[in-house]
Amino acid sequence: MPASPYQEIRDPIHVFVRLDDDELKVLDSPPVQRLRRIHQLAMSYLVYPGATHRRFEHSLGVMELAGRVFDVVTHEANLLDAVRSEIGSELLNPDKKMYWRKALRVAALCHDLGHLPFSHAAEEELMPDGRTHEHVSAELILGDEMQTIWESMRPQLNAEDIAKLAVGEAKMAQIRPDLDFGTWESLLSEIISSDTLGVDRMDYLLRDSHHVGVEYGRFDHHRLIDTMRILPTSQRATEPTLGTTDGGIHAAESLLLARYSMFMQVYFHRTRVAYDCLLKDFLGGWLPKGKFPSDLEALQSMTDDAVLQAISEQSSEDGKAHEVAAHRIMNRGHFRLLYKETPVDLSELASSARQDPAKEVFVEAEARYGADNVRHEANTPSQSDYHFPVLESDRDVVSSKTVSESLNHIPVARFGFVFVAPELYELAREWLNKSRSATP
Amino acid sequence: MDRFDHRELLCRLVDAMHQQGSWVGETHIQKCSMFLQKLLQVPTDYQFILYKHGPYSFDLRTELAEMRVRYLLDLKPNRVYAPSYILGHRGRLHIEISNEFQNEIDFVSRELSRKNVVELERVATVYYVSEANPGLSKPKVAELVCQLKSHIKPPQAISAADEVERIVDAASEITGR
Repeated sequence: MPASPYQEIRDPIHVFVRLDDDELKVLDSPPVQRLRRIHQLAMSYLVYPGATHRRFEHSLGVMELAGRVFDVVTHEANLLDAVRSEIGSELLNPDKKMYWRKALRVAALCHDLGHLPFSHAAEEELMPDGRTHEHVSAELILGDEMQTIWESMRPQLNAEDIAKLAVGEAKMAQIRPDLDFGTWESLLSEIISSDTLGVDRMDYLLRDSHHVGVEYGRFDHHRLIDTMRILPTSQRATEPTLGTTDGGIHAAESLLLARYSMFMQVYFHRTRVAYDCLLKDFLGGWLPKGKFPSDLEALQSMTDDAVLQAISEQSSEDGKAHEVAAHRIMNRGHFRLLYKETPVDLSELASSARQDPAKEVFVEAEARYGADNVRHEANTPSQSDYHFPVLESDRDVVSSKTVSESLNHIPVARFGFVFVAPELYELAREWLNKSRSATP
Repeated sequence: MDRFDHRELLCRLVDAMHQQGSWVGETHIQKCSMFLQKLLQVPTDYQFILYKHGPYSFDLRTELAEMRVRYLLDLKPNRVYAPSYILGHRGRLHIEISNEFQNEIDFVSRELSRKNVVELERVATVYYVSEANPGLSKPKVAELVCQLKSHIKPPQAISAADEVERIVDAASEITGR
C-alpha cells in the first residue's frame, strides 16, 4: 500500500490538520518550531489555568482554515460573473490555482513567526525603532533560511508572495511599501488577516475559548466558511473582497460578537492586564538597553522559556525595579484594580467632553501613592466598522450593516484601568470611595 | 494639539461634511484629514501610509474607534455603501468648544467631502505622491501614481493631478503659500 501523501496532526479544534511533504518542511523549520515556546495568550494562564496553548498549534489551525476558505471561495459554482473578470486569470489555470493554494496555506502557517516572548504583551514598548512582530515575520519569510525551503518546494514558491499573504496589505505597506499588492494577492491576504472574516481571528477565538474554558468565543465556523464568497465591494464598485451569502450573516454576527466578548472578558481581563504591566516592567529592566534586539538571530533565541527562567532567577523583593516585578510575578503579587472606566462614566458622569475619567483617577492616585505603586493601562484595539458585502438570494450585493441589526450594535472593545500595588489597595479604595461620594 | 483637540477637530470635520451633504464614510474622513494635515498644515499627528486605496492612517482609524467608545461619534448604516459617521451625543458638546482651524475644515469639506470614494482615492494619492516627491512635474506624478497603484489608469491619474493642482491653488488663500 502506498504511503499516505499527508501527515495528519490531531487538533482539539479542527480534529485533523493535514500537511503534505512540502508543508512539513516548513513546519519543521526552526522559526516555526520556535512557536512551540511562545504562549498564545501571554500570562493569561495565571488567570485561566488552561490557557497554556502556544502559537504553534494556532498557526496550524490558521493554515487548515485558510485552505478550507480558499476551496470554498474559488469553487467554480461560487464565483459570480461580476468578480470573475477581476480574478479569473488566477483560477482558470489549474497550476496557478494550486500554486496560490499552497502559498496561502504556507503563509498562514508562517503568519506569526515574528512574535516576541509572551506574544503581544510587551511588543509596542519594547521593540526597537517602532518595529512590530510583522516586521520580523516578513524578514524571516524573506530570509535565507526559509528561502532554501521555498526553493525546494514543488511548485517552487516565491518568498515575496508568501510574505505578502502572511503579513497582509496594511502592515506590508508600512514594512515594504515597494511590494505592491494586486487584486488577487490582496484578496488572499484578506483570507488570513481580514479583521472581519479572517481565519486568524476565527482560529484564535475558537482555540482560545476552548483552552480558557469559556463558551462565548465559539461560533458556527463551519457554516460561516461554507457561505463565504468573493464579492464586489458594493453594487457600484467592482473591486472584489470577502463577504458572505445572506445565509451566513448570523454566523458572521456570532463571530464578531464572540470577538467582543473574548476581548472584554479574556484578553482584557484585569488580572491578565496587571501581569502584562509586570512583564513589561521586568523586560524593560532585564533586556539590554531596555529593548528587544533588532538582530534576527538574537530575537529568535528569545522565547517564553528564556524569559520565565530569567524571572525566576532575578526575583527579589527589595532589588531593582525589574527584580521586584519578577518577585511580584513569582509570588502572585500583581497590582490590584482600583478603578475601571465604565460606559456610564464616559457617557454621563464626566461633565465635559474633554474629561478622561481613568486618566484623572490615575493622576490623583499617582500623586498620592507614588509612581512605582500606580499604573494606568488603556487600550482600544483597531477595529473595522463590520461592513462587508452580503450576497442576497436575489443576487443583489448589499452592506452587512443593512441586513444585520446586531452588527450595528456591537460595541467597540476597550478598557481603561487604574491599578495600585496590592499592599496599598485597601487604603486607595477608601480614598477613591470617599472622593467619589464627595463628587456631586 | 492634544488628543482632546484632535477629537474636537474631527467632530467639527464630521459636522461640516454633513452640512455639505457628504455621505461621511471612513474614506471621506481619512482623505479630508490627510489634506487638513499635509496641505493645510493643521497640526494633527496621524501617520499616513500609501495603502490599498490611497493614503490611510491606522492611528486615525483607532482614534475613530476611541471616539465611538466615548460617544463622540456613532455609525449610521447605509444599504449599499459602508456606514456613515455621525456625531454622538457627546460629540455635539465638542463642536461648540472651539472654532480653531474652522476655515481649514470648511475648505476640505467644501472641496472634497462630496466626492465619491474612487475620486477621493485618486486625488488623495496624487497629492500624497506629489508631497512625498517635491519638484516632480505633474505628468511624472501621474506616471508614478499609475506605477504604485496599477488599477489607476493614466487618464484618471492625469485628471486627478489637474484637480489636485486646482485644490492646492485654492488652498493658497488659507495657507498663504
